[in-house]
Amino acid sequence: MNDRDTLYVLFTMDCLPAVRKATEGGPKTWEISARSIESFCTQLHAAGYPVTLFASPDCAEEHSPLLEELTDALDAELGLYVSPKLATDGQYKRYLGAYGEEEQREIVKIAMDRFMDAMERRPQSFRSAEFSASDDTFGVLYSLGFQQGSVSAPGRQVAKYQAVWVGAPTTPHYPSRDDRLQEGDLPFLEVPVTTDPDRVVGGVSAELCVDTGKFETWHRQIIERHLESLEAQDTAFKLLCLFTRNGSAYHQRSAQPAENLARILDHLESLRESYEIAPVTLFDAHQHYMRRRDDAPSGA
Amino acid sequence: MSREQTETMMESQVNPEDVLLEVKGLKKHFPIRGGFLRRVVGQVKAVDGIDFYVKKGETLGLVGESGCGKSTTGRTIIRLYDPTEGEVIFNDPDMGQVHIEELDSKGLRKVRQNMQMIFQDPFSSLDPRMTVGRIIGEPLLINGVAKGRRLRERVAELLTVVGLRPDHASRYPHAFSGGQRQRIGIARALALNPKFLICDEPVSALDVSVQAQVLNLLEDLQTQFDLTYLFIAHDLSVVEHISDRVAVMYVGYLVEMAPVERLYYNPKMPYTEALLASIPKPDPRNRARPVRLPGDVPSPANPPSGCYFHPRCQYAQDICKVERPPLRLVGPDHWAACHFADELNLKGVPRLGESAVLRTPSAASTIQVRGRRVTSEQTGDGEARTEQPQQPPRPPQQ
Ligand SMILES: Nc1ncnc2c1ncn2[C@@H]1O[C@H](COP(=O)(O)OP(=O)(O)O)[C@@H](O)[C@H]1O
Ligand code: SF4
Ligand SMILES: [Mg+2]
Repeated sequence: MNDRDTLYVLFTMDCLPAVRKATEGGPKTWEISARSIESFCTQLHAAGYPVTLFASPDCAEEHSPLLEELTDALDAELGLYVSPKLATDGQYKRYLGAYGEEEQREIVKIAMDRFMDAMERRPQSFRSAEFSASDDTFGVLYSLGFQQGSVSAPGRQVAKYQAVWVGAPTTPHYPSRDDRLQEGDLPFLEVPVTTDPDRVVGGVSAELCVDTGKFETWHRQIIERHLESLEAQDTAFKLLCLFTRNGSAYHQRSAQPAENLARILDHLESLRESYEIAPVTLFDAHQHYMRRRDDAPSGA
Repeated sequence: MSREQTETMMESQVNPEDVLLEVKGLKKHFPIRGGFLRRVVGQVKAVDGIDFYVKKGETLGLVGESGCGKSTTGRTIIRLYDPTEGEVIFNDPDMGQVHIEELDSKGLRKVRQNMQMIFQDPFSSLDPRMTVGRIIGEPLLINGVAKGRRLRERVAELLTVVGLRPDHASRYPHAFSGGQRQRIGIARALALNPKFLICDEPVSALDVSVQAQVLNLLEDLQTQFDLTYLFIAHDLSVVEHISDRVAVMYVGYLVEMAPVERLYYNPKMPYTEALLASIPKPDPRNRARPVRLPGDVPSPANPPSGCYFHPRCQYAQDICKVERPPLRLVGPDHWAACHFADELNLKGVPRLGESAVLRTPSAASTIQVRGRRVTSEQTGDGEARTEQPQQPPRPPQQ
């Protein structure tokens, strides 16, 4: 049994501002946000999984004591979530990938400064709203000191948000400096969210979002398909990346998101028969990725 | 044995000078209304005649499954509910012996300066529209104790005392975690320098690692401010560490009460034995699942005959179905309500060794809650870590 492959498991949550308008997609109130974030982290911590939270600047400002406690007591990692419109108070109205390199740097910098004022720490992990990015994005993030991100959703094709990831790598990788869809040598670990790129509905591939759908017909199938493709490609660094948002009612145990989470955790337990399950934060994932690269025979 | 006898015998166990709170024959029944005219058609006998005392400076744990009447007991003692019957005698440091059940609203306000309650749900117990400063300062303002700068200073001091920062006064509850909100609730309860705190499951809603921090805080505050606690919990694992004595409650009655070692080592009532057996074991899969006793708690509106525990008791005999056993003395300061308390050889658990409870001053804290070891220590680099040995292994760092 000791030659079982390691399967890294990364749970992430996007922490959006409480909405002023329903279309913005965030939680209805800050209270719901706080309860959702804490319940998600608590349930996962009890099951042995640390959570990677991507906090928007507003969220860092509103919830700083809560987020501090989650990182200190529940091993959560705190990264930055950027929606240009929300981070810059409407100065930049489109999604990140719509802007040129310098503008992207400016936007992320504004968000990062607000985050650092609130949390007194520098974020090292990144996600952009709607998985929006251009070929410049990874380079911009690296130049601002980010070490890793979860920016891509392989198969997604939403041109109006500049979220086009058709043909993108489906496993953690160092990206190219000038082509977001290619692997390369930028030492910034990009961890795509787990998707089934072959199952596309309305421009969006089936994505491993905890609060979407029901376990049997959604999460189980996406996980199975992903593991099959990892096996088929003989991928060395196997990882599942799940995501969700802070508007989901994880604090109501009978609500669908909490039910899905419980089923997913049960399923991960059953996968222990085939894999060594290794719960990680995005930061942890990068550390392990680097170690494996160092250990790999040169030229491989 | 009559209640008077029980009472007299309780008095024989303790010097009246040392008693801070005494509860005699306390009952709280809630009317059940039904039908078109909303007439009273029955009674929920949530608390149905209980006697106990709490000594100055001690912690009495009050334990029982959900629905047994623990919260109702706490709320009736502090007169959030008016008792149906019985006496609550409080040895108020300022007013002397007072009968809480007889107080008018002015008297109640006065006694509540010395007697406060901390609630179970830190989410619903704080007003979401009030800043933390206002929440904590309100009792000081209402009682005319402080205002203006003195009020702000006192709020800042209280925040510090519970391990939060003075600048948190300007924030709203949604900025905080459940554990931090519980600290805010504790700060508010401490505002008027009370002597007696009723803690109603103050850590039940919290993550295990955070539970330890809040329990440690309550212990520190007890020493620092010479507090006495009635500490309510639904399982025996949490109260063990913090209590001097434990009272076990079942469907409105006390069924056992003893110093912690005796109750854990040598229980005399089968319900206590069942509760001890249900203390969560470290679960290899480590999913936080509540451990439930077989069978359900009977409804206090329609309890069984005889000993209320008989439908779930593996030792029940015929007499148990018809005659309710009184709470009686079965050993030194050890009370039990079971017909066979003297004959049964019930299985306890050894108390956690004191050596397992290691604490260093300041920020480092280790506490063992039975079945779930929790360590949170402040390491040199300022990062707090939490260890839970039974968790699925995470790959080693670096
Ligand atoms: N305000 C109330 N009105 C009617 N019934 C109540 C009320 N409060 C509690 N009860 C009932 O009294 C019983 C004891 O409740 P409670 O004291 O909350 O138990 P515990 O705190 O041990 O879980 C339960 O059956 C509960 O439904
Ligand atoms: S009195 Fe009878 S039914 Fe009740 S606890 Fe004792 S043995 Fe069990
Ligand atoms: Mg209760």
